[in-house]
Amino acid sequence: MSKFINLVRNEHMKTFRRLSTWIMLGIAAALLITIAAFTAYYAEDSNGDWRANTEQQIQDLQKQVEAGELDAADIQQDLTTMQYQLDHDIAPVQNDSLASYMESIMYYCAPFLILFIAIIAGGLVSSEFGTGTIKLLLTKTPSRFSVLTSKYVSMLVTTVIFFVFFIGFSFIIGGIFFGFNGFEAKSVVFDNGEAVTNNILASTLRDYGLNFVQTLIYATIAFALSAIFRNTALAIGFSIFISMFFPTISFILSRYDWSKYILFNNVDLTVYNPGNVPPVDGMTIGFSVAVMAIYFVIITGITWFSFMKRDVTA
Amino acid sequence: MHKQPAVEIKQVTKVIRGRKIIDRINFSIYPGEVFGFLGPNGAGKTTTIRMIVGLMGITDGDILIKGNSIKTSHGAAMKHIGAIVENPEMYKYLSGYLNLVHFARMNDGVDKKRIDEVIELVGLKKRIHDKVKTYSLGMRQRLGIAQALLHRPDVLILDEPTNGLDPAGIREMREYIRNLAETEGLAVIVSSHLLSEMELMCDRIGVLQHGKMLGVQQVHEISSEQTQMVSFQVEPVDQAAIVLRDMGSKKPQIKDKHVIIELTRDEIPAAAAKLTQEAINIYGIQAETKTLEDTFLELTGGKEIV
Repeated sequence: MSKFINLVRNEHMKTFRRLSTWIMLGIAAALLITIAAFTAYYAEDSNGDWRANTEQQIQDLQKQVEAGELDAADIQQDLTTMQYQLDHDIAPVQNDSLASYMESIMYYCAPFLILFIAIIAGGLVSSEFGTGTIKLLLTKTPSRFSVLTSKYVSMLVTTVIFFVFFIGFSFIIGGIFFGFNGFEAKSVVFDNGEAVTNNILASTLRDYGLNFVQTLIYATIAFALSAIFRNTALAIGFSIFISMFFPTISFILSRYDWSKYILFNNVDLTVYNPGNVPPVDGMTIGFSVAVMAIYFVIITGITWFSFMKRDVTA
Repeated sequence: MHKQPAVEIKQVTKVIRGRKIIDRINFSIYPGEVFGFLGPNGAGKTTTIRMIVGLMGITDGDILIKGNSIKTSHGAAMKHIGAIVENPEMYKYLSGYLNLVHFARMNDGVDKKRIDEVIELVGLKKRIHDKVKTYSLGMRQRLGIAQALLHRPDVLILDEPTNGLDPAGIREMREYIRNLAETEGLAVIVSSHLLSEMELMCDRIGVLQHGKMLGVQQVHEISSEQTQMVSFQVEPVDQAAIVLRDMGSKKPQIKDKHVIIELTRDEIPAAAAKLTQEAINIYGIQAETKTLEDTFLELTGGKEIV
């Protein structure tokens, strides 16, 4: 067991001694700071009375309905949530607040997390083939199974580190720009015909957790391609292609009932959050987790089998 | 040479996509010897070495490392092997030292002290904390050897160890390898397509061609049964040829002022005594050992090597 931990430490050392890993973290840090700066600079003046504004908005919408410009059913949700805000004295969240900033970082930067982790995972196995160091790795006492598993475990740890970095860094930057306050900020969302409140920081953390699952699925695909193709460029390129286009293609297909068995219609668990709808009616979070688990077992099974059986000719 | 072999290759066959790359080869390597693996490019040297270290599967037959089958007990077999397959590839973005730490973690019982010991052994102390990308090929080769020796293996496998080294480097490498075999008792397997190089480095040489082992040849000692061509510089030549007529298996030949006859090692002093008895003047006796090249060409049927 201690030997396995040593193998993971080795992988870790190789990941974090590479310049490319630090460049990615640097890009992430620059992105977070830039978004914070722009948000602070372009923030709307929040001195006005939000109650008067909201009441005005409700009146405007109602006038438009009377004039026949809008359909009453379409704005029912908006009216309900705004009325709920007035009734329960919940001020709308300002853009230039810690909670709102962290939430938007989560939304805008989740694709970057997938990209970064896919780049790291896509090189984990194939780079050893590329440099020929695989011959040294596999001519030591640890079995091929341990070598590959240690690489996967190291990838999991790296993913956790990247997530912790995004959450921690956005909290610190958000606090510096907008002040460490407003932790209780709430938003009102329309779910199942009624308005419910939602603590923004809590839901942001929850969504990070759900995105973690999604990132891991894409990372596993990149890792599998890396081990099977033994070519870094191919593995990274292909997994980025998959993460960009396959969800869209799957979504287009979501009008067919069978598309609920497609992996990419199941990876985004945020569709089960209050106020959201899954791609195909009748899908549940349990169903999606089960579909992902089955795909996961198949993908990793092929990967491990291929890595353990094939000759090394690099 | 009846010690327990360090490596036993038993009836090993490798088939890739229906083609027989290696065809039932058999040989053993013993502790303390340097075994050379010679053959033209594409003969199957690297494939055989890859099978010994477990990088390639064995279609048929088995390879035992100190009695442990590489097929069924990879870990136990690899414990005894230190290897560089082809080029000494290292993590270029890590320092030499971190490379060694990396490989030390993959073996049992390699502590910091052992790492320092090995660095001292290969003479890389000054540059060990520099990144490997700044190393010369010779230094990478040494780091590769350091990596292979970390866990005190009994078998050292070096594929083309002198590839890309300058003459001084080749000489250093050769002395180093001989020293490991002679003083540390390691069994060393080296592969090369350079005859002269192998002749200086190895105790025995196995010649591989088209996936078949053509023969295993002793390099240095010539056994007493083996014959060699002996040339006697004598006066008068004709008489000497008559005197030596009944010695050796073939008729003596006269060439310039020399009588050339095929004799075993033990027969040489006897022949000299006989010539002296008959009052023939001997000016010189020269045993012309068959060069490895002759043997090699004989084995491979006179074809070009590389």
